[in-house]
This record gives sequence, structure tokens and C-alpha cells, in this order.
Amino acid sequence: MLNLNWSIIWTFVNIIVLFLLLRIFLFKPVMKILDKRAGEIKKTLDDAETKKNEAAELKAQYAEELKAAGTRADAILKEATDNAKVQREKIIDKAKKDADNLIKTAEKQIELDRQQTMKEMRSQIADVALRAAQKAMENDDVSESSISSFLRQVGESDD
Amino acid sequence: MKDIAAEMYAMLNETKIAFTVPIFGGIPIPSSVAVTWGIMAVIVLFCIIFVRGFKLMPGRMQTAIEMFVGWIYDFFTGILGEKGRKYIPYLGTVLIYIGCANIVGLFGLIPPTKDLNVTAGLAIMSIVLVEAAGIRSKGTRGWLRSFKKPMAVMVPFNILEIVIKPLSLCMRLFGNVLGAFVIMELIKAVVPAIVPLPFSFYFDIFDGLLQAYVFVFLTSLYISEAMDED
Repeated sequence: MLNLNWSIIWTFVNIIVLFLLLRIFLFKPVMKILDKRAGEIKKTLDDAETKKNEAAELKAQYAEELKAAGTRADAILKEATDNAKVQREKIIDKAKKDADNLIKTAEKQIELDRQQTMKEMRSQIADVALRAAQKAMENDDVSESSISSFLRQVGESDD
Repeated sequence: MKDIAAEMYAMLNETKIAFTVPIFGGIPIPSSVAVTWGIMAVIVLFCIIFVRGFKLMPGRMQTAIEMFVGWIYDFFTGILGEKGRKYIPYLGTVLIYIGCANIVGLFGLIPPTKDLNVTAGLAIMSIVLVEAAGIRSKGTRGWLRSFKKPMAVMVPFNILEIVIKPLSLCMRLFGNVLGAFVIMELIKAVVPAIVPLPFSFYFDIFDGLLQAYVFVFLTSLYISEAMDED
């Protein structure tokens, strides 16, 4: 064992054969699986990163939409309020006008009624006066007291 | 005392022949070669059985093997850099082989590394790889020019290094295994039971694996040095 001899060739052959076998059965497959796993992990991480970015984008978009919706709601509310105001003023104006018209019509009516009544009263007074005069002439009593008693009689019967 | 020395010398000096292949008038197979074949068969069978079923989601065995191979790659990449990646399977092979060869004594076999032919063969292959790496990295002219660096005076020493480097590799490994063997035999001669156990742990396991590590570590350092562009 202490001397070098030809059997050194065995060492060369053995090591080279072992090297070739281990390369086929150990190093290549193990490195392949390690690389594959590294690739897979990288892919997963990249996917996660992409998803995260997408989520952030969506979030920003939703926030914007929410803001826009708020603005729109405000606008709608304002418009509705304005409309209501205009409508209210219109309605109040109309009511005022209607009331004015009504009052005017009523006043006219009242005036007409008054005039009518006056006319009737006038004709009635004339009629009573005529009848009083007639009665007085029939009785030949033109004294004031007979006329007033007659008038009292007429007033009681008319009532 | 003289008896022990003579006995041990006789034990060391004979080239043990495991068996003889009965062709061409009989090819003798040294025991170191037979043990090496056994180690090779075990390693390769182990790899075939456990590496074949590798999945993306690793089991326990797969994790252990992946960690080991990953450690080998990290370790050598740290020394050689990315451009030395193609030498890693060979260095890993040598690491696994020397490691197994050194601890095979636990199973009652003679470590192949106790045969000078094995350590010398490994060292010669290492220096061939080192110089090949130098030629591949710098080109033949660059490789030749690297001998007169850092100055022309260094040429003889640099040439001498081609011999010294593998010689030191070979003798370090062989000397450690031989020394361990001699000490173990002496301890066994004095106290045959129990006491040799811790020493066996040190020499067979710790020192064996350490020497495997040192061998490939130095080889990779030489390769890195040979590839170094300056």
C-alpha cells in the first residue's frame, strides 16, 4: 500500500466513471428540480406582485368612482332643491294670483249684488211709498202718524 | 516494540489483492479498487433510488439530498464564482468519494484512501483539472504566460508548483489516513476494548470527513487561482 504502481490507473477509471454516474443520477436531476422550483417560486411571486398591483389599481378606481358618485349625488340633490324652490315659488305665485282673482271676482260680485239690492230696495221703497200714498188718499188722512203706522204694518208683514 | 513496527510495516507494505479476474491470465484487483467499486455501487444505487422520485414538493429525503447538493454548489460557487460552475459536479464527486472512502473503515473495510495509488490518482486528476481550467480560461498562451507571474524569476518555482501541489494534496490525505491507521493500531494493541471507540470516532469520522473537505477545498482554490485573470 505504500508503493505506487500500475494500479493507479484503476483510480482514474473509477473516479471518472463515478463522476459520470453521479452527474447523471445526482447532480443533474437535483439541480434541475432546484432550478424548476426556483422558477416556480419566482413565477408565484411575480403573480402575487401582479395581483397586488391590479388590486391597488382597482382600489384607486373604486375610490374615484365613489368620489364621482358622491359629486353626482350632490349635484342631483342641488338640482332637486333648486327645482323644488322654483316650483314652490311658482305655486305660491299662482296661489297669490288665484287669491287675488278670487278676491276681485268676489268684490265685483258683491258690488253687483249691492247695486241689485239697492235697485230692488229703491223700487220697493217707491212701491211702498206709492201704496202709502194710495192708502192715505183712500183714508183721506195724510197725516204723518197714519203714514208711519202704515209703514210699520208693511214692515211687519214683509218680514 | 520492534515486533509491532515490523508487523505494521508488513501490513502496510503488501498490496492486498482482493481477487483476480480470470481473463488474460488473471488480472489482480487490489482491495482498494474492490472497496471503491463497492462504494461506487452504494452511492449510485442510493442516488438512483432516492433521486428518481423527485417531486416539486419535496419529501424528507429529498429535502436532505437537495440541501446537501445545494450546500456543495454554494460552497464551490463561493470559491470559484459563477464561471467555475462546470467544475462543481467533479469536485462534488471527489468530495463524496473521499468522504465515503474515509469512513468506510467503520464497516470493517480497509479505506481505499490508505492506498497511495488512490490518493496519488486523485491528486494527479486534480492537477490535470487545475491546469485544464487554466488553459480553458486563459487560452494556451495566456496559461504559458502565467508561469512568469508575478515576475520572470518565478518561472522555475511556478513549474515546480505543478508537482508540489498534487504531491501535497496526495500526501496530506494519505498521511492523515495512514497516521490514523497507525495510531488506531497502537491503541488497539494497548487497550483492545472501549478505549478505541472515541478515537475511532475522531479518526474515522471527523478526520475522514475533514480531509475530504480539505482536499476539494484546496483543489477548488487551485482552480480558482488558475482561472484568475490578472
